[in-house]
Amino acid sequence: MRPAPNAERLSRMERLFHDAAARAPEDREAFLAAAAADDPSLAAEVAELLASADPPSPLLDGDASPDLVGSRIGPCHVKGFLASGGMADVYRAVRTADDVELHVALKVMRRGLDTGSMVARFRRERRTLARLRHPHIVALADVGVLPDGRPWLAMELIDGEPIDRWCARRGLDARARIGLFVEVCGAVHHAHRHLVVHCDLKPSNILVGEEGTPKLLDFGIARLLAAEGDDEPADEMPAPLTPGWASPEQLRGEPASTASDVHALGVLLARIVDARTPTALAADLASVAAMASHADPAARYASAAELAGDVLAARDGLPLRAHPGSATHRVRRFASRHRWAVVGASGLLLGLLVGVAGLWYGWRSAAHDASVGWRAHSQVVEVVSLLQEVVRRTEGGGLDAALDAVAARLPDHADAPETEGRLRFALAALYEQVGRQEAALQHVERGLAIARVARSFDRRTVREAEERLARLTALRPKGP
Amino acid sequence: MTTQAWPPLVHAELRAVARRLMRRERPDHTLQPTALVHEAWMRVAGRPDARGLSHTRFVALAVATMRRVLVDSARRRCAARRDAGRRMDLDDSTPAADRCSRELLLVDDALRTLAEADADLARLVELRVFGRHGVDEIAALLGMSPRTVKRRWAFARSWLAREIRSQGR
Repeated sequence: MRPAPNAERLSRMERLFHDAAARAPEDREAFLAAAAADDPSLAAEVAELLASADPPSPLLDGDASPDLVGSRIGPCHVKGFLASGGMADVYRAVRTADDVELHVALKVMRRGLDTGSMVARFRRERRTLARLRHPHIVALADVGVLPDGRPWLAMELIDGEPIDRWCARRGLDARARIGLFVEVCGAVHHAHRHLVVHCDLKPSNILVGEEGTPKLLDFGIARLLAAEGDDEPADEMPAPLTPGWASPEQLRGEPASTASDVHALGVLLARIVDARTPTALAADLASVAAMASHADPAARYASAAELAGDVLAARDGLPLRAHPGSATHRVRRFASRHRWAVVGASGLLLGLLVGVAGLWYGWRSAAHDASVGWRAHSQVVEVVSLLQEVVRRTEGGGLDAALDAVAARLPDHADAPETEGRLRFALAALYEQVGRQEAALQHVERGLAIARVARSFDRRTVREAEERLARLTALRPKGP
Repeated sequence: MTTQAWPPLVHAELRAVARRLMRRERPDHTLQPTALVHEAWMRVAGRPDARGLSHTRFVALAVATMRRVLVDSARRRCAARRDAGRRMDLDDSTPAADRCSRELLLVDDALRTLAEADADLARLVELRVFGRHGVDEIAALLGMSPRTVKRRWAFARSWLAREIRSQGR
């Protein structure tokens, strides 16, 4: 047995591996012999590493099983392997039926699910999907089960680009983006009326073809393909979740509903609104997106159609269902319960909502960088949850106590200075309005210190904070 | 500490990692993704420093934790099979899932050896093999360029495959 490598030997081995790999195979042996003349066993070891054509290992390489290429599946001739996604392998195939050739994407479930109940469930889903006929929904061409029990689906192969990339690459203006988005909402609404929920809406499932038509993929099959096995009841099977797109109720493991799709549409709206959108329109669209992706399903738009209606209203400058200050039922309920505090408190909540809108903008402008987008989205989620906490605590006690509770949670954000900075600005505004000038001053100062280092804050936010600081400092009682 | 204390997306992150892991496990795996997440969750969230963890650190811990859970479970399965009878040889008739459990233990051993010589490379492999993270994700998490991640993974993969071959016999 070979001895365990020490650090020095391993690092030399890796260097030799890369240097030798960069050479033509026939030159490697001579190169290694010369480069490791002092250590022939090392040279031999590197040569062994380079020479070994390992069989693919499911553990090291994932379990892609492109073994169906060249075979016939139902009316489909499998031409090539496309990708492994979710629980299925996806192949490129040509389907010939009634003398018509159609290029299809063939999704084959990875594992044997040949039990009677799975097949029955699959047939049920197939009937459901067959009902979906919409110009913006990719139709299911065929469904079947392989001899080994693995179910497969064939759907039209779309040669398109994810909607966000399409918008960015073509430099579409706000009206064109809104037009595309409304078409997507129409398709989602159509499916919802046929009682089919997508569960996993995201740009990679919304492709736009050359002619500019959006097509939704994978409708209703997300859950189908997520089946882990036969022992779980069909309706409790976990669906695939995409961080940043899945709704809070899906993340909690609750069943997805049409409201979950509305949530994803809200996330999409925020993603495709770009920095060139006129400010007023962008603010309205941010409110619409915030309402669509509200943490509480009941506070979202009742349907994708209603969401589309508000987007069109924003485009045309008409009054919205969603606008800052009345975006949530919670806020309205709060206002009706606490008439005494409405004037002050609704102003406070407005301040927080504006803070949330600011985060949406940050997220939008960071849409090109998925990791930044993810972070910004988690900030939105965090701030919204804090907003709810403020409202909840205010219902049971004093606003002062609620603010203190939020302030006490600030150390949670020590590794996310942007979130901490924005929270401090929001807190400063709130403390100022309840008359706690010292606390307000403290938070605005710390927030500005963060903003100076983080540099990712927009100028308006920073200017507002500086004005608040100046005001608070001027009003500060002179010390004894 | 309750799970409520975590932002929901952290839970999503865990679930995604678990899902990628479970996909490669045997179909009748006794651990469902939810159970795996829960176990990893309890272990990571139970740490005294849990709330101050950065995203990078959290992902690393979650992946390491799930690795431990899976290795423990693979070890139990292999032991149970050994007890059931020794005529079980690793040949072509061995179900893929059984080979996978055994391979998982071999990778775990090899990774331990690797960590002693090159901790950075071992971390990369752990994210790749036990977290199923993509090249770009790993590059972001470890602060390397995607090119470096690809190169280092190519080497590590050859090295691991050889370790598995030599141990597996």
